[in-house]
Amino acid sequence: MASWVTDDELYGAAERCATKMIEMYHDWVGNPDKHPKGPTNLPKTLIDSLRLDAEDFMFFDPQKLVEEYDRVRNIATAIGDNPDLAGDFAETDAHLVNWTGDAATEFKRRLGMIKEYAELQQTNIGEGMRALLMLAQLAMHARSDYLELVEATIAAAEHEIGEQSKRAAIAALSVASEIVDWGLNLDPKKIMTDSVGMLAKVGTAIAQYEIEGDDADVVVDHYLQAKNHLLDSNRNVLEWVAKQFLEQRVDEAVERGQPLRKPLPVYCQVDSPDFRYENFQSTRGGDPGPIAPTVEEERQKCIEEKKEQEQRDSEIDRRLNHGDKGVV
Amino acid sequence: MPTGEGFTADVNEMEKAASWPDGSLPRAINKLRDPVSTLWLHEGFGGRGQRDAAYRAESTYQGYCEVLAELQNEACNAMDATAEALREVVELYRRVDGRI
Repeated sequence: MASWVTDDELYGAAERCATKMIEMYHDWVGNPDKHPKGPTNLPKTLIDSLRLDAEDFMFFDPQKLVEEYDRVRNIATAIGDNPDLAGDFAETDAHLVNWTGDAATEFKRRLGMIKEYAELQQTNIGEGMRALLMLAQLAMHARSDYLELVEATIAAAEHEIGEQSKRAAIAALSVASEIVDWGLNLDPKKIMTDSVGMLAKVGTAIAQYEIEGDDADVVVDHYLQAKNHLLDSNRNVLEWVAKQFLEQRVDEAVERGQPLRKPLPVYCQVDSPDFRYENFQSTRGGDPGPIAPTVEEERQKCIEEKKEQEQRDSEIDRRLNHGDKGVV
Repeated sequence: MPTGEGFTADVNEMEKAASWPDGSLPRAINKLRDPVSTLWLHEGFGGRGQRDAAYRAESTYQGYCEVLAELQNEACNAMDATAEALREVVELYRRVDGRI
């Protein structure tokens, strides 16, 4: 099961880091006149500032992404891997097997299109799940990266104030763009079957950041540079997922739905003069010759009856809505 | 008798596919339509900070799901039209069958 750094852990680490930075500046804190910018309220300002920094790495709640992933996976399964639905399709095919002609063929063709659409829609949803997995990975890495950075900064601060002689102030930060490559290479079938457990498997390349310096300002500058690099990197992935990935998938999904939007040909519709028994005939009904004229005769009667019904409905509607008073 | 039992049997079969709501095709439509409302739902990704880029990613994802929901709805409507056309053929052929 995937795990991630919690909000509380990040806030706590940020506060520890701020406290350690304050220790680095202890002379200034104790003697505000010594600080070049005259920090009169440095402790509180710094703690608040680092808490806000930490929040920039909590841009998504991984648990929410996991829940969304599970939710849409259930939808995708209900559409693309549903034996009951496949059974309904197969049954429909079987019920129409003894009908032939252009119209019957068109009905069967549309059933095929609908089956294909259900599979394509599962693919469409799978691409949304791919985006979710990338966002979940990014959200988890962002949190662990910031924690790593903060711990390295604390180590550098301890070194600077002489509490630690051995250098350990190196932050190993993941390269966010690797998450994009990972996401794009995910097997569509695995997206549907592996669940969120796969989130724990991801490792990305890492970049080493040394947080060091001869004095407090340099340590803080290194922290800020690494933090800004992480923020830019995360922002780039977020924008890539939105602009380059999802928006393009919208176009593809719309394109995939095109065939079904075409209306049924008129020869499939009973109220069209183009409807003919020859276009929709029973293979077991015998010679169509004697049936076709009867079909046409009954078809004409159907149309007449519908017209009469529509006129009656129209008259009822007129009376109900306007009465005989001519009120408009 | 030019049609015989074969014609009647085939119309019966077609009705099993097309009749609403228990025919096999309307049942399939319902199964496809059921998840549409769920695709419209969006409970949000939570989180704090860096809201500009995160908000864009989240809203684009939400928009993507809404497009999928709309497309699925359109597909179901197209299937409804197909099933309705089949029912009209059944109705016509029942009249013919009754006469012959």
